Amino acid sequence: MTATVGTLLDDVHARAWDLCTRSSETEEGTSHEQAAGYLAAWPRLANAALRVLDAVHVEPVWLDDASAVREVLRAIAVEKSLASPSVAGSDVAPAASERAVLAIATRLGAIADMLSGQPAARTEVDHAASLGMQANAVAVVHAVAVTTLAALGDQHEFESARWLMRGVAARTQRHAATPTVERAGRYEDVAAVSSEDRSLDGAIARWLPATVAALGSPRRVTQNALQFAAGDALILIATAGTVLNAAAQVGLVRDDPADRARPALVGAHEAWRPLVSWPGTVRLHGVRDVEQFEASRQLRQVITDNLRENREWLPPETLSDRFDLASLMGSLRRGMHALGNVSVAHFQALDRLVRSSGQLWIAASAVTQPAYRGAATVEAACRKGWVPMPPGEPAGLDLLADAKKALAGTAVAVAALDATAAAAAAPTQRGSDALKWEGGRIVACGADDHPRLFETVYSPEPAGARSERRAPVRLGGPQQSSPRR
Amino acid sequence: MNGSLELARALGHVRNAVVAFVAADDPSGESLFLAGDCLDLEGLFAELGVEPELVDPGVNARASLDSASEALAAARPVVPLAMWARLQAVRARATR
Repeated sequence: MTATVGTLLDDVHARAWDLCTRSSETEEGTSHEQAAGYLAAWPRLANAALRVLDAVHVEPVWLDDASAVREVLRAIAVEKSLASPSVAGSDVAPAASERAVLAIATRLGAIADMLSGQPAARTEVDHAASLGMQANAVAVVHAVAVTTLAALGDQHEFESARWLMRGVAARTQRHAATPTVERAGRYEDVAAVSSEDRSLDGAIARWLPATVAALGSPRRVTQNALQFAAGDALILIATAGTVLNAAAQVGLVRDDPADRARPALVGAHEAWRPLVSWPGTVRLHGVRDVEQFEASRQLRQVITDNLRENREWLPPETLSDRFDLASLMGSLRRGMHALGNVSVAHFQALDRLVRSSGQLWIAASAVTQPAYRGAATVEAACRKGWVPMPPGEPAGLDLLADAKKALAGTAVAVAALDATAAAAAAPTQRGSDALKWEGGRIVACGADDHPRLFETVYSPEPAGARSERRAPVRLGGPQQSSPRR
Repeated sequence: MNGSLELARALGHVRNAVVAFVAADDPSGESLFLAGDCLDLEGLFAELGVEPELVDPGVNARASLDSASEALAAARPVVPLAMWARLQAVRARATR
């Protein structure tokens, strides 16, 4: 199974849940060493969580919803006293970091690594997905903070650390309380796929760079390359539609997003059709690109071998029996994102070809502009020959217009399919008073008993949502007796 | 008989087959994969430097593939075996 951000989040949440459970089941209470161990691991955990929060860039027009969390995590990431919290200046050796917390930190770091190549979130769907990703990461931090607080107890030497952890718990509470259905989004589909992988993901991972390379090079682009890309687009879109139907039928995808995704996929499919056929009167010289050809053939073969039987798509029940449909939907969402990149390269290639002279050829008999129907063109038409396509020839402009429609249609389909990345309903399990297990994730619940930290919000600049800033609250010390205004 | 002309006609028929497969209203999706196979075949023609001849579209994709086969058969001495084999495989798949 392909490792995805989603599977790593599953693991991280399960580990955090286990940590909470173990600590609450210890009969003798937590020892000084264990409490110190938790604290010693916090700088790494904070650093890893910060990296996840920063991994997906968000357009500046949206407020940074997690600014307060970032602030406290930055403070912890550089807080050296957490490693030896007992007595400042003493000879006590730095505490050995709690392994379970380090394991969580390592996996959060891996998630940040996987997300680091993602483009900035520009659409509403991507913004919602990025907020959901933040909530998932911060929920883990919240759970570990709650566990650490419990471990610190009322030991005097941990007073500063206690205030710090209370700050973390308070600031992360809101994010951790986000229902799991609101957290799911396309970033959970991001996967670490090797080009050696023989799965559908591997085939797509090989197909994307080979196709973009063939289309992106003015020397390598050929009619064959453009048609192959379009043909593969049709097949990928049809595959996505088939798997979506199966996923919707078993309740893995809710009706609303499925009903919106279907027509979007149909629209994209229709838009790519004319680009596979190409007008019979237009051609572009060139030998096929071997790498693109091989990658295209492999992609079609993998889809045929796994998802088709007797010249038909596998029925939804069979797909559901043979595959982890949630994982397969993730693969197809990744495939559609790859197609989005190919659609850009495809449009750019045609744009270059149509606007530059001497590359595209047209049947002499199909030249429509009178200014270009000279003696040479007429002679070529008589012998059913070809001539370089004149600038502004409608056949070329129509091809470019079709490529633009395919690009737009693909973008709409990608967004609609991304919206299907929502968590299915799953049993809820209650843990400690502060936390519950819902849909494979930790969710904070109930009123917490941590003192509220008050912050001042002011807008020194003139009206505008961009200018809101939050005043920092001093960390690591007793709370002020009254709210700061 | 001009082998080059027959190759050009065969490519024209294969191109018509692609158009017909793509235009087909086929919920099974098989026509999409057949179109892909035809594009593979067009790639072989491109490697030989064949320029397509504009030919009338067949009644359907299978008819166009049959016409392509007849044209290649008429130019047998100049037809690479791989091209012939690939065309026959596509015809067989389209007929099943």
